[in-house]
Order: sequence, then C-alpha cells, then structure tokens
Amino acid sequence: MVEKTILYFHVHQPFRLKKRGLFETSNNFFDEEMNKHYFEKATRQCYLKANKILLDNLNSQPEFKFNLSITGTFIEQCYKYNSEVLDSFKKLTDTGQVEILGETYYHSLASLFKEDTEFQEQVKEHSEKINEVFGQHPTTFRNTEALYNNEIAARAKKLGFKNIITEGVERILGYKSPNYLYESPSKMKLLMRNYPLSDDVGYRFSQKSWSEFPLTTEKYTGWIKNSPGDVANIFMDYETFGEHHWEDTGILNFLKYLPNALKNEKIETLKIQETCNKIPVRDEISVPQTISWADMERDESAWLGNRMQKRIFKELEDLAIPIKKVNRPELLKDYRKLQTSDHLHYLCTKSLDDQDVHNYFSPYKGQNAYENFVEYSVLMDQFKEKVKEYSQENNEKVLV
Amino acid sequence: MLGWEFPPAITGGLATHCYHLTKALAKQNISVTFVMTNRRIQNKYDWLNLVQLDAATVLGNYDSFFNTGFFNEVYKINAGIIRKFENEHNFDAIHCQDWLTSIAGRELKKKLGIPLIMTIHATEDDRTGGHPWNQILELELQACREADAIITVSNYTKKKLESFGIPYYKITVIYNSVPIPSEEPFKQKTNKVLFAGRLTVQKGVEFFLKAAKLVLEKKHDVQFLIAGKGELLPKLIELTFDLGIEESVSFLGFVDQNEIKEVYKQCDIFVMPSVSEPFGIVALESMAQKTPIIISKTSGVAEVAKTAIRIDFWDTEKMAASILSALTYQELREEMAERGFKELRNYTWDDAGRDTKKIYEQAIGHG
Repeated sequence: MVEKTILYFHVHQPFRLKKRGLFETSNNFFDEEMNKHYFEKATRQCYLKANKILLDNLNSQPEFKFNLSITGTFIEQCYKYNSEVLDSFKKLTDTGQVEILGETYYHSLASLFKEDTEFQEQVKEHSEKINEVFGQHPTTFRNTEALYNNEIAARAKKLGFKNIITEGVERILGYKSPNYLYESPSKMKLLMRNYPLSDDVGYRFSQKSWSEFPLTTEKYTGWIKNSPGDVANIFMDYETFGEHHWEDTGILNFLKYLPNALKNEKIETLKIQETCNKIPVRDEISVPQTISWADMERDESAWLGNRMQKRIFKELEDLAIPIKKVNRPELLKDYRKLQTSDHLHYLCTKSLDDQDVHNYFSPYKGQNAYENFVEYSVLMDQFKEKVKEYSQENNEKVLV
Repeated sequence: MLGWEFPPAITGGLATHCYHLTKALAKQNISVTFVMTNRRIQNKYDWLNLVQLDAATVLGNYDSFFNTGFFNEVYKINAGIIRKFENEHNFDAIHCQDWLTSIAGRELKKKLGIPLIMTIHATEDDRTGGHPWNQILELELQACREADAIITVSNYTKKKLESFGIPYYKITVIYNSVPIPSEEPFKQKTNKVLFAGRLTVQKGVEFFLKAAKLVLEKKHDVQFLIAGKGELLPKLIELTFDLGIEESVSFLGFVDQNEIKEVYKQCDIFVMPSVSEPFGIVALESMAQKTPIIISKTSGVAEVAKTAIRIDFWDTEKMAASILSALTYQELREEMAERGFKELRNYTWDDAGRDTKKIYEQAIGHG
C-alpha cells in the first residue's frame, strides 16, 4: 500500500514561430502577438487560478508538498507579458513546500544531440535562472517531455543532478511497478511516472465516456492508497488545471480538495529530493532506447517520428557549433528558442488518434504538418542565412 | 445515365468520372445504359450499354459553347434523347450528369414515371467565375428542383446549390476517386513543377506563373510545366514574357489520359491554384503518381485530401514558399508522396459506386 506520493507539475510555454514572408530579412523569428495571446489565455484559465488554490492549500496544510518544473521560456514570457504570474509562482516556492526541478532552459531536444556542450549550457542556464528567481538549486532533473535513456541520465549526473524522473514505460519495467525508487546504471536515483494514475487526471478527468466519470478526490485517493509500492509518482502538465480541462469540468475544485483527501487517506505528499533520501533504491533499471511520456509509443517519435522532423532536428544540431562562432548573443538566444520541442511536435504525422492530440495543441490553427513544415523550413533557411551573414562579417573583422 | 462524353472523348473531368462510376456501378449489379452526345467513339466497353446519338455530331466539342446557335443544338440533342427513350419502359431511374442533358432527363422522368437523379459536377456559377449565363443557370436549377436526388462532388458544390435555394436534404456529397496504380511509381528528382487543367480564369493559371517568378528568384534551375489548352493560352504566353520567365515555362498543350500519368510522375510537385474548383480530380491523379500536391483552399478536393499543402490561390508568395520547400527538402516530398499514396485507399470508386447505388435505391423506393 502506497503511503507516499509525489505530485509534480510541469509549467511551459514555447515561443511560437512567426510566419515569415519568402523574402523577409527581419530579425523577428517569433510571433509576439500569438505568444501573448496563448500566454494570456493560459494565465487566465490556469496559472492564476491554480496558483491561488495551491497557495491556499500550502498555507492551510504545512505538510502538503509538491514539485514544479518551470521552463526558461516560460519565465521569459512572464517578464514580457505579465510578471504577476511569476510572482504568484514565487509565493508558492517561498513556502518552502515546493521543489523545483532542473531541465533545459528552452524545453529542447538538446539531450539527443551527439555533442554534449549545447545540452550542458542550456541546463546550466536554466539552473542559474531558477536560482536567480526562486533561490533554489535544482537537484532533480526532468528532461524535456520526460525523454530519457541511460546516456541522458549520465549527462545529467555530470551536471551535478542527483535524481531524475521519466515515464514508467511498461516495456522497460516489465513485471516491476513504477511505484518504487530505482537507479540508473550511472547511479542516478530514478523515479518513474505512474501513468495510469497520472492520466486519470491529465487525460480522462473530463471524459464523459470514461466508466469512472466523474472522478472525485475520494475515489482517486482511494486508488492511490490501494496501489502496491513505496511511492506513487503523479506527474502532469500544469496546464491540466483549467486549460486542458476547463474550469467547468470541476478540475480546479479537484485540485483544491486533493490535499485534504490525501491527508484523510494518510498519504504523505513529498518533495522529490526528500523522497529519494527517505526510501530505498529497489533495483537498477537500464534504458538503452529513448523513452518519453508522449503518445502511445512513449518514445521520441512525437518529435522525431518522420523525415521532416528529423531533418529540422538535424539542421538544428548542425548549427550548434557554427552559431557560437558568430558571437551574437541575441542570435544564439533565437537559435535556442527554435529548439523548443513544441515546434517539432507540430510536424508530427502519426495515426489519426495521436494526430488529433497534436492538432489540438497546435497554435497554428487549421494547418497540417506539411504546411507547418513549409513555414518552419522558410524560417530555417532564413535563419541559416543570418548565421552565414554574421560569420562572414566576423571573418572580415578578423582579417582587418 | 445521360452523359455528355466518354473516354477516349475527353474534354474535362466528366468523361473520366462517368467511366469509373459506371464501372463501379456494374460491380454493384446495376445495369447502365449510357447515352453520350459528344464525339463518336469506336471503343467497346463490356460493363455498359453505350448509346451514341447522331444529333450530337453537329455540336462539335466544348469550345463551341459560346458560339451562336449553341442552345438550338442543346435542345436538338435533348429532343433526340427524348425521342429515343420516351417509349422504353424498362428503366428504373434516370441519372443525368450535369445540365446539358437535363431537359431530356426532366421530360423522361415525367413520361416514364421514374425518378431523376442529377449529378452536379460544377455549377454555372463556378464555370464562369461568378458571372453565370442565366439561361444555363436556370436550366441547371430547374433540373435540381425537379430532381428526386442530387449528387455533388464536394461540399463546396453542395453549398453553392444551397445558396441558390436547392434544399440541402436532397443533396448528397460523393467525392471523386482515382484508381490506385497496381505498382508504386518510382520518383526521381527533376526540379519540375506541374500545372494541369484547362487554361481558363477559374483555374488560376496566372497565379501559378506569378509564383513561378518568385520561385525562380530564389532558385534558378526549376522548370514549370503547363499541361492543358484553353482560351487563356495567348495571354499566358504573353505573361511569361512580361515576367521574364519564358525560358523556364513549357506549355505542353493537351495531354491525354495515358501521357499525363507520365507527366505527373516526372514532376516533383503539382500545383492546383484554382480560383474556383468544384472538385479537382487532377490533384488525386497526381497523388496516385506519388507527386505531392499544393492545392487551393477553394477546391472540393481540399475537403478530402489530407496529405496536401493548402493555400489561398491569390497568395503567390505562400505558393512559391511551398514549392521551394518541397523542391529543397526531399523529406517533405517523401513524406507527402508516401502518405498521399496510402491515403487514396480511403476513397475509392467502389465506395462511390456503393454510395450511388444507395441513392438510386432510396429514389426508386426499393433495393
């Protein structure tokens, strides 16, 4: 019987790509207006409301704890569009009851680049930002979309992280339960998401056709309690609360009453670092092939499933070294924002079911993956042109 | 079935449609007598009873549409059809393909007491870019009013008819299909971009040329092929000179059904920039040869084809960007070619035959 649970919510907003004219030469690669629109929507529907609920919960129950990951691109959008949102997150972490995880600043796939430097720099940039804003030094690593393999765990360890989280993929776990603490071959403490319990809230909560609909906090905490193991890892996007499920589904009330229901079942909510200190490592788990928490496949195919995605990824990877030679901080910043995994997600052409998910979350309404590719390829060509231009300028300076 | 033309007598998509539809209906055990009124052909088809009416020969081909005395000829043909069938009582239904033979269709419905089904491939409004010839429009609408059931080849055309007051509940959309090649075509990069269709205003050929100009500014070694004939040809040739792209554009003239497959196959990308397109079967034909398609949003085929880049016909910059992206990134071409080829299995002529049979059954009142 599970007596502990780790609640972890992921907060992220990408910088959406600008539709560039074929002959455009400006330095604007991102659609400010569109970003503002989606940021404000998520702020209105989710962030401010859910933060208020969680702050009340933290204040009224000092033993209530949870974990957050907040991307660098999200923090930048707070600065840009509404700093009140960032303040409301700071109030949560100021209670001392919230742990913040480390990740790539740009929610990128740099962990899959052959060369490690780009990944290291993005993770360090993120840790520094988290320290600057929230005064925390992350010790738990969450890679973009829980993308994970042995190599990624080793890379994170090299950066000083102690723990890492990923998906509790059945083909990896076999007969094992995700409800225990494991470790990677490189001796990183490894927590694996209990995806049935996580998806009950993340996906199924508002599905009227679901046999368990409607989901109450009592029913849900009962399921947690009845799971075998040491700890239930319940991880999901923070936007679940108010955006993926709208307020009228009752999701925000669910969040409001969840801590109390957990308390009634005598389930302890924990921060990840203290959990890893408290409970024993049960086994080593080796993950040679990349896994993630996305789609039915739970691998990298949501971002690298087809040739178009692989091509864009390769274009990005190939730029990693040349871009640093031109020594233009703002161009480097843009390069990294282009790496945000969301952009590759919108090029996905999977089976109908997943395609629906991909389309549902696409900000480029009414466009299919091929049309998105056209836009991204136009932008990519122009971006590469810029890099070339600047590096020529640099060379000339050196010659003079 | 009252038609107009039948392969190899082809001026537009109608003949191909009738060819495949009658074949699919034969598979559903429906015996079809097909009346053609255009050119005479020598071919024999074993799945239908082909009736060729002499009155038609005086009419010539499509190009004589706007000659004086045109309507007299249409009435003569219709009178010929009526005379031929007014005493034949062994038919269960009349199915008219477009308005040309609809006078006969309406009259025979009354005389024989059997239901009339109209297929509308394009409305007069579409054919003329919003400046319909009232006499034709009236014939078309009268046929739809009197028809017991109407089939359109797209929702686009259905909505058009509804806008003229034809009740929605009489109209069913049955999309066109193309036969899937038994062997997957093998593609080789050629840097050729294709337009195929009649050279008329509603096909948007000038937008294709303007996009070509933009493409050539970025990439020089690209050839633009234009397959088809039509009234705009002199103007279009002039336009290529005005744009300074005459060396990169080839006018192929009319290309027949067999040759066009080769042309699709030899091109890297197919563009259909129609201003108004009730369906646009050329797009599916191109997919069948694994040539990715860029199609106008204002087309019937855009309702069904998922593996397509959809553009506004006037957005020549986006059109050019799409062409360039497809030419530059083989990954885009390959994904679209493979997906598109597979996608064709989702809508076959057999399905269209089954759906048409259902409409017959409902109109007749029994199976």
